[in-house]
Formats: sequence, C-alpha cells, structure tokens
Amino acid sequence: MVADSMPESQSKQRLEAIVRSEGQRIYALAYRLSGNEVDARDVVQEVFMKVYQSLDQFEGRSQLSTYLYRVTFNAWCNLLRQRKKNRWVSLEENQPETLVTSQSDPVDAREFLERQERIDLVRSCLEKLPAREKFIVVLRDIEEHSYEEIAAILRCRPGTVKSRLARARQHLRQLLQPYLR
Amino acid sequence: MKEEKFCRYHGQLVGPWKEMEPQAGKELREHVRTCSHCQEKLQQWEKIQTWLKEYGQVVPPAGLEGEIVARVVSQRETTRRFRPGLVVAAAAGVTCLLIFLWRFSLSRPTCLVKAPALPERPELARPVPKARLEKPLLKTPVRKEVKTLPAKEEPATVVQTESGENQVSSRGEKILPEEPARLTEAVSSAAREKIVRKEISFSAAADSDRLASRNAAGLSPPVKGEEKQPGPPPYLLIKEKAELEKIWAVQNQSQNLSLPVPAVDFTSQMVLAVASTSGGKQYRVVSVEEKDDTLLVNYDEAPVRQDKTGENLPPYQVSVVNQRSRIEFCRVGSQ
Repeated sequence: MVADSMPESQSKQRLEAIVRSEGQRIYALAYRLSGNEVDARDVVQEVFMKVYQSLDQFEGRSQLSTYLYRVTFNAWCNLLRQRKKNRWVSLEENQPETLVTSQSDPVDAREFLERQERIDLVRSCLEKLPAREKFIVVLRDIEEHSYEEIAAILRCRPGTVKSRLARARQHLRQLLQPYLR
Repeated sequence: MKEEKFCRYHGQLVGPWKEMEPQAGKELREHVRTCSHCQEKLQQWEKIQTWLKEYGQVVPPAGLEGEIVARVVSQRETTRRFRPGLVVAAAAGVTCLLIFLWRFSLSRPTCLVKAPALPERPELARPVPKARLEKPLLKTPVRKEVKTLPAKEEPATVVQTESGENQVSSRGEKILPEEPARLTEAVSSAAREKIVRKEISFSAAADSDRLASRNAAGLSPPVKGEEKQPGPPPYLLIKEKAELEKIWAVQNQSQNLSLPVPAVDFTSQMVLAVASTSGGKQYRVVSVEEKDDTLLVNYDEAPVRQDKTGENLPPYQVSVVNQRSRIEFCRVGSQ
C-alpha cells in the first residue's frame, strides 16, 4: 500500500502527475468500453484508486500506460459483473451526445441526427460483443494501437491478438450487416 | 454465393489490407478490382471503420483530472476509516457467541424448572400449633357411591429424577428429559401443562430434612418400615382464574356436581391443588401453613386399596392460599 510506506503528500503528488498525463486517455478508453459517462467516471475512479494503492508495487517492467490499460480493462469487467448481478441500467446510458460530439463542428441538424443514430448503432453492437473482443476492437480499430502493444496489455502473443481481432471484426460485421446496405 | 465460396480473398477483407503483408496486399488489391463481391465487402468494412471512428470520438469533461484526484483521495480516506478486517472479526465473534449460547441452551432442558437448594430452617423443627393452620381446605363434598375416574381426569404427576429435575406425566410415569414431545402428549391439557411447568418447585432433599426434624420433635411418628423418603404428591399452583375454572370443572365432573368456582383474589392469592391419588398412592393434605416466603404443606399418604368402597375422592384437594415464592411438602403420617 502506497499510503502505508510513502508520505501522503508525496503519493498524492505522484497520483496527480499520473492523472495529468494519463487521465484523459484512460477516461476515453473507459468511455469507449462502457458507452456512457457515468460508468466511465466510475471506471476511471476505480483505476486510479488502484494505482494510488499500488504505486510502490509498480515495478516498471511494463510501461505505465500498459499497466493502466490493463487495470482499466479489469475495472470495466468488474463493473459489467456488478451490473449483471444488480441488473440495473444507468439513466444516462443513452445520452452520449454531450461527450461524443464535438460542438464546434459546423454540422446541420440532419447530419447530426444521422451521426447520433450511427453512434448508437455501433454502441449497441459493440455491447453485444464479448468483453475481450470489444476491448481488442477498441484498442486496434479506434485507438489504433499496434499488435505488440495490445499483446503487452493482454499479456499474450501478437498472433493471438490477430486471431482474436479477426474473430471480433467478423462478429462485429455480422452484427452491423443489416445496416450496411 | 458461388462467387463467395470460391473467392480466396473473401475472409481477408474483414480487415483493411494495409495490415496484410505487402505481397498479399498487392494481390488482394488486384483481385478486388475484378471481384464485385470483394469490392462490396471492402466497402462495408471501410464503412464500419468510419463508424467506429465516429463512436470513438470522446471529449473528456473539463476539470476531469482534479475531479479524479478528489474522488480517489476521498474514497481512500473512507476506505481507511472503514476497516473490513474489524467488521469481519466482530461478526465472527458474535457468531461464536451465538453458537456457544445455542449449544449451552441445548444442554439444559428448558421446559423444566429446577428448584434451588433451600437454606436450613431450624425453626421449622418446632411443633406447629393448631392455631397456625391458617387456611382451611376447600374440600369438595365426597360422594358415597363408588366411581372410577377416567384416565383423562387423572391429575398430573410430578416425578423427580435422580438429577433433581421435575418431570410431569398424567399417569405417574417417569419421562426422560430427551422426550419433550412425549411430555406434551402426556398432560391432558396444554393449559395444565403450562401451569405445571411454570410453577413446580420443590426439593425432595429439603422435604426429607424437614420430615426428619419434625419426627425428632415428636410432631408426628415416622412411617413404620419406610426408611426411604417417598416423593411429595403432585400438585398444581394456579394463578389465573381461567385455569382455576378448568380445574374446578374437572372436580365437579368427577363428583358429578356443579359447585360454583371459589372467589380468589389472584393479585395476592393463589390456589394449591394437590392430587388425591397418583402412582398407586393416595395423598391427603393435613394442613397448609404460610411461613414468610414459604408454603408448607403437611400431608400423609397411603397405598390405594383396590377393594376400596364407600367413597370417591376428587382428583384434587384444593386450597386457597396467599402467594408465596416457595412450596415445601412434609409427610406427617399415613392414613
């Protein structure tokens, strides 16, 4: 535990530094995984709580971002498990436009609505994917990480990542097939 | 479908060809120019890629970093205050205590009341004058004809086991402590059982001491040929009007009479009902004395004669007495 072996002010400073450098990326990943702002905030809080508790235990064998991505994936899986157990749905789950859209873009109302429909469609299809497949698709096709980076995050071989990614894409294409014509 | 089946590039179009090896990508591009099916698949994939990029656009809220730090630090402090280890330890302790109490309660029969040991009372050794027989017995008139009591009207019997625990049966049989169900069945009515369970308190040891002292004082000669002290007669202590009415109904029914229920002030008084016969013995209450917190019942007993004729005893000998916390029986002679 960091707070037991490190002064409180020092550990807080380290936490602030990590949040400053990685906070937005982790939030974006959590939002892409969970699909809504409330769950994304909960996941981010859980991730940095874990980081805060184990700053001393981080040995530096992997990059901090790799470690953070892995912790984010685990926190999101925990959230999914809790949701499955409690069977409740966030009221803000279907209100993505406040964050997903860029308000500075000069888009007209029709294009804006069509885009929201597409985003909702992709979100609903991604939610139907298994957690690991969704994570790989997000990392590769949205965040454009390399196979090696994804392999380091998932602690597997790049070849395994490729096969899983191909399976996830196939699955996603099948889900989106009715809307592609 | 035929085209899809024989197109060897079909499966690779799931992903963009820029991820493929250069040579394979070059072959795929050449194939796509001529294969309409693969052109369609490639267009679909590019559309999916575009949609995924749209979905992936996230604008983090302003002040996110400060909020994250504040939430984490506050959660950390909350977690520190709440120590799950202490809660688990407390829960384990309470559980152990409950288990211990449960086992302890199982090891002792709860339906029976064990009488406390009585202190030695030297004044009881003195002869009791007749004037101290404070309360006359309420005796039910005796019928002259012979009548056999039905089994259900036979009074409850108090049996004292070797361990000093009192047990009750309507037919004078000994009931083991492990048989509470049988005990319940044995008593004729639930109300009577309740009274007996609550109110029985006597001590055979104290009774024998008292008898010895009274015999030494010359109050009553010892019973010839009986060195071993027999148990006291079974009895009921009634502290509710409803219970008295039930007992009185039994009395009237046994004598085929309809006498009114005696008036009793249950705030300060209670009714002592001593069984007339039990276990092949016939009991007769000689006197009832009220001393401090003790009710002293002098009685004599004799074996029930099978050829006995001329009188039909009521099931109980009923006395109205002032309330006392203890009751002692003293055998003063034989009939």
